[in-house]
Amino acid sequence: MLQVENLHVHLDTPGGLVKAVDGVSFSIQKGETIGIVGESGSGKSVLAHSLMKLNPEPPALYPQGTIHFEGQPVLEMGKTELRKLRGNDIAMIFQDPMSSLNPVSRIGKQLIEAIQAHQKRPKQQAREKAIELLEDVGIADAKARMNSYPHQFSGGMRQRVLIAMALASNPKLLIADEPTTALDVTIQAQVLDLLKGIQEKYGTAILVITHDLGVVAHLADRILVMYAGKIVESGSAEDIFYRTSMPYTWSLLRSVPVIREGGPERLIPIDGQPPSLIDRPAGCAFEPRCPFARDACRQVDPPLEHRESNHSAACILSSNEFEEQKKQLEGVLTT
Amino acid sequence: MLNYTIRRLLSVIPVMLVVSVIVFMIVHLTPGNPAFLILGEDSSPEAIADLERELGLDQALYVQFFNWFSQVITGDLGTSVYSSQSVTSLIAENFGPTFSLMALSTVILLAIAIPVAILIVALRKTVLDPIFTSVSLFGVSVPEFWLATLLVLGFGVALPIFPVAGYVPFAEGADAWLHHILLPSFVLAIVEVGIIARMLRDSMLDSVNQDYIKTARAKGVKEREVLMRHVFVNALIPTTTVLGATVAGLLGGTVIIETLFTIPGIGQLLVDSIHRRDYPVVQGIVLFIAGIYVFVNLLVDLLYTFLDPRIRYD
Repeated sequence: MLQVENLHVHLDTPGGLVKAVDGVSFSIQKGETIGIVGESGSGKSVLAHSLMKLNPEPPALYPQGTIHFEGQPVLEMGKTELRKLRGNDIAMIFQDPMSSLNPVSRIGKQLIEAIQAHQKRPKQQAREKAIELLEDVGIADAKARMNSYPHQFSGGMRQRVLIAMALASNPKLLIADEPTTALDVTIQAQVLDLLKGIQEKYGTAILVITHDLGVVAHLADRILVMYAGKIVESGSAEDIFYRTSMPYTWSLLRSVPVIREGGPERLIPIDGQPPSLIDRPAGCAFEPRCPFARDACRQVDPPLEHRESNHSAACILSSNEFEEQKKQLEGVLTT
Repeated sequence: MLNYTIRRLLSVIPVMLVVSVIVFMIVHLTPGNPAFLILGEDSSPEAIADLERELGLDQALYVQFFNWFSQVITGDLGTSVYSSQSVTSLIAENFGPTFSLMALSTVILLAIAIPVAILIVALRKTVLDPIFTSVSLFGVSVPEFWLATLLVLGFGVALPIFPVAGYVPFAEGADAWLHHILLPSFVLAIVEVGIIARMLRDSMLDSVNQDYIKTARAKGVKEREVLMRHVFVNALIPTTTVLGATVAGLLGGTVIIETLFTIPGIGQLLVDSIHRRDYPVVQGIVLFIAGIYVFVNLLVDLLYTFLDPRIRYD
């Protein structure tokens, strides 16, 4: 349904050209859930926005690569075609529900606007559809809430309203950019369950972008790990969590708090900072922070290579080599 | 809302008290003896003393202030020394032209500033934006009297489309009224257009980068509708604050414009009264203008509740 081929997205900033997305390829099938995981600044949000060409231009540039949605080249679309794509075929929900709704406009009006952007329905019908959507995402007393303003809703409720808005035209793909980052933990689970429910009910494909491995573990069929504008590992949730094949994903997993029997285990942060995407050093971008780095890593930037079935990783070490080295290092670390 | 309005109206009293003290001080602490100035250089000391007694100028300053202020709170601003008319009726007689000027200027101001700002924001990625920024700065810097003189020369003398002076009340015919007041109102407005258009543009550009604008675009809403329904409506809130101050400030501009175009309004009355040393009238007008400022600001505060549902006063 969606194919991204060798996509490059650059941001032309006063500080220099930021290579936010640096040669990314992947595809999304109908009804599939894909998770993109990465640190802040890894380019995952820019990538997500590119899928409906929503990055502000300037500064965004698309020097290379293609995005095809159902065979149509998204990056070559004009204003009218893009408008028909956005909200209709591909919808998006954003990180901060507190600021993503127009503060001076009633919820109902904003929902009706989303409906009427793509469907020629008279106001009354659009209104009924809007109430239906609100009920669908679990807003109690939807009819009365239509007249409320965003500030009269809690964060979790606003995210539900935004999800309702995204569903207005029954999109084929829903992009969720950090959908739970700004929410309380208890609310996070509710929103994730809602997304899962939507997928089961409508068969919508979901692309969820997050820095939270828990979120993708909960939702995604397939996970892409991003680092410094590139995909460094991709595979099923099992591949990523249990058959980790490269150091960055491994470090990322170790930095997640896990509550286990026998008391808390120490979190292990990843030392150092992600590299500047303006002057990318030659070689592997993770090399300065990588506990497995060797001399060759400074020269070669390893491409994303097929490992087994649908599992790929970008590392100079083969899966077996990595496994051995990892065991050694873990042995040293635990003693 | 009603409670808030009443509370705000009550809070006008201390503000006006402070304004009264300042107005009174400025007038009475200015060097020169009013009685002497009124009667002229050849007057006898006896005549001056008589007039001082008559005007109450021989009393202590605080007694004079107390006498004046106790009248003021009953709505009596005193009597003109020059015409023996009550100051309130003088202000009432002269307010019509000033109000006409202010109202028409506000309409012209908004009719130019709003479309200009929207157009600039819609074309923000073109060369038009930096041009606009320079032109608006120029507009703000132009002195009213210079622009007025230029326009009078242009459209009153070289191309005699508009009369160069005078005023016809609205009651005597709307076209004659408009014909006389259009040019002065335009001058009064055009100087402020830069400020309002610039403010609106800046607020709109702030709003353009907000998350809710991204949401609207992601919904597939037409860019024109995004601009009008989301960007513009949100930008109105900060702009209204500046607009309130600007509209009240137009009153200051009328002093110059009315003098230039010989329009018999409050501004001209003020200038004439200063020349005649008619202190009760000067005090009354300054107090009246201060009152309008306070009133316009109250209106702006009440207007917020319509523009921004997050603001509730009760």
